[in-house]
Amino acid sequence: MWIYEKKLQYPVRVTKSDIPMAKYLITQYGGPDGELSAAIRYLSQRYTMPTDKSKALLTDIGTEELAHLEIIATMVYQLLKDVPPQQLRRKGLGAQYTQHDHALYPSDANGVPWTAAYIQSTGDPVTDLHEDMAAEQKARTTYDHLISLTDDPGLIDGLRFLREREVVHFQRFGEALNDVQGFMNSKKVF
Amino acid sequence: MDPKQLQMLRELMELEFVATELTLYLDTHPDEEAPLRHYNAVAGELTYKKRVYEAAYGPLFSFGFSPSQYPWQWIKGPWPWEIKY
Amino acid sequence: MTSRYTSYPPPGHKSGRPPVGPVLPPGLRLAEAYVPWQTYDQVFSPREALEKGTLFPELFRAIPPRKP
Repeated sequence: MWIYEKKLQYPVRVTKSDIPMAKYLITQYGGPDGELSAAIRYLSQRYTMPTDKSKALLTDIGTEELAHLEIIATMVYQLLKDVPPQQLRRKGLGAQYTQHDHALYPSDANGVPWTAAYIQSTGDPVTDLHEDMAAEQKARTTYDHLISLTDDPGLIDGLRFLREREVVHFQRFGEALNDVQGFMNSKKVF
Repeated sequence: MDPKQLQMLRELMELEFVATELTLYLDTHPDEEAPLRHYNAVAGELTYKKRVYEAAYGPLFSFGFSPSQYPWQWIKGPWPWEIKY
Repeated sequence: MTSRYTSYPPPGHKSGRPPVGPVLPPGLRLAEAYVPWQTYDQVFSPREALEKGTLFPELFRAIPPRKP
């Protein structure tokens, strides 16, 4: 069961000046290495994890990723708010406005819609945890790129927070892997 | 949003973040006593501070997790993505 | 003309001879990744923790210098 708290995990500060960033930020909303992919991946894999620790961790990190989805959405929402269509067009967001107005739509930075092809849930817990560790690195790298693309200090602040979360999640998934491998090895029958 | 409300919200974010970090740590280290004591202390402080916030500014949760004054306060803005922090 | 490179030798390996004794730390196996366990030690204040994105100083990674 999920509960929503009416509060962001991190305070988002955005000036309206770096409007083209909205086009790049959206990849962390609906792109291959974004927060929606992370949430659905972990929340799907959790059902077939073999240990208490791994079930809990996948549930909790999956839940946190939904909170990150909200942060990215807030960044995009505030960047685009009240920007007239002609200005959106001049800043490279004409196609986005045509199809979505100022709305949030899960796609990557090129407008390719989100797909479950971005995730896997193989049922092998060792395999799934490796996918999760790779996913955290890909997300962290994407945040490195996004940080390099902007000068807005408010945006950089929020992106640095999200980036550090990926580092921590990688550590936790690594610990879960240690735990799961220990469990799988102890189950072997000779 | 008035500065006092923003300040309280910020404090709740900070405390809840500590609780989140401890949750993830405890998920992979469930047998450690010190972080669990830390977690329970933060959880207690959060419960209190959230009730104080809600008494002044309305419910943070629906689905039965927070009470509401009349009329139904849950729907009232600003919603989190609308706030200029 | 082909060039050869020497891959980094494993610890304890002398050229031409296989290693003597175990080369893996205890508990580790080949073909299994392992991440060191974190221990609960120093913590940031709540304010600094939120700002940095972690409660734990040893997990904090400063962002790399900006590419020009």
